[in-house]
Amino acid sequence: MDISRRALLLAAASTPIVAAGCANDTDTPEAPKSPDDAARTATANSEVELIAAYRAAAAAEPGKAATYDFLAKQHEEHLASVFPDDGQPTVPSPSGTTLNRKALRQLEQQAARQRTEAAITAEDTALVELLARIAASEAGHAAYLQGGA
Amino acid sequence: MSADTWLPVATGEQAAAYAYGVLAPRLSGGERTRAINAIATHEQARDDALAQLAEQPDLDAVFQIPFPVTNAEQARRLAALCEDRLVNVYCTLAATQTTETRKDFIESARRCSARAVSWGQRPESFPGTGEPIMKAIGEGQDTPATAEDEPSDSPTPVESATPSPPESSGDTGGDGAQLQN
Repeated sequence: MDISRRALLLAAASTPIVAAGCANDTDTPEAPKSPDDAARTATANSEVELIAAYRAAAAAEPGKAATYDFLAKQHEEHLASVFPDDGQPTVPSPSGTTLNRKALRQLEQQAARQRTEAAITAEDTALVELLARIAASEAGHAAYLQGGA
Repeated sequence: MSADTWLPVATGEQAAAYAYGVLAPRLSGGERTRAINAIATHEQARDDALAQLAEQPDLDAVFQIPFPVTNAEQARRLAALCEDRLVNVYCTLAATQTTETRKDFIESARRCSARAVSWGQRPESFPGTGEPIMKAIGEGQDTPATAEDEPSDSPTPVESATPSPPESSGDTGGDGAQLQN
């Protein structure tokens, strides 16, 4: 990892947040999320969905497991970049639903659009840049899947 | 909108259009058509950026190509490099923009990233974090290489000739994801 990338990740991960589904179970009402917290949470939940989808696809299609594992790994890096280590949501085990290549590509395109919308509402400039790069990454994933990789 | 925002975009797009002009003749068939279409795409993006500037800059017309481009493999590599560098331009600038321009810049970054991958670049977790886009000829101190030089990863300038003009134009695909190898 080069310095600029590491700096980007550190900057983006410096703000502690509470993940959706990971909030404490007290009766105290949760304070409204800041735009940045909401963007991080939405991104993390989407990344978890993508990771689970690729793991399921890799299990279902061993011949393409290398490609799917490669892309899943990048989504794990996305997830790690928007959440501190102790707050990451758990990636569920592969369920019975398995997406094919076309559906995975569509999921990536949808994720890129979601990252764009999240970046629009985010306030922290480091987070905006991080989300922009994740959106670009996921657009690249979609192209990779379309290109017969 | 300030020149700090739009001048880097115009310069980056100009450099990309130039590079595609250099690399397109090294390709054939559908790939060559894609490269020619990409010239029009990047020229349009350059013109759109220039339209945001009150004072028109003198953009460089010729750029240093970081390695010799004498075959299709090198041409693809240069195309991917240019697109990846533009991802960096757009992502960096997006963080400083208001919402509408921010959205436009991120969408541009997405298209460039998809095109980079379509030219053979491996997907990256955080694309566009590499070296700056090409320097204009005369900006650096390197001596231009010749077309016979061996490929190298070092940032050696090579092309000084005006790139071939586009032979055709067409829809480049607003969403780079539709591009395929």
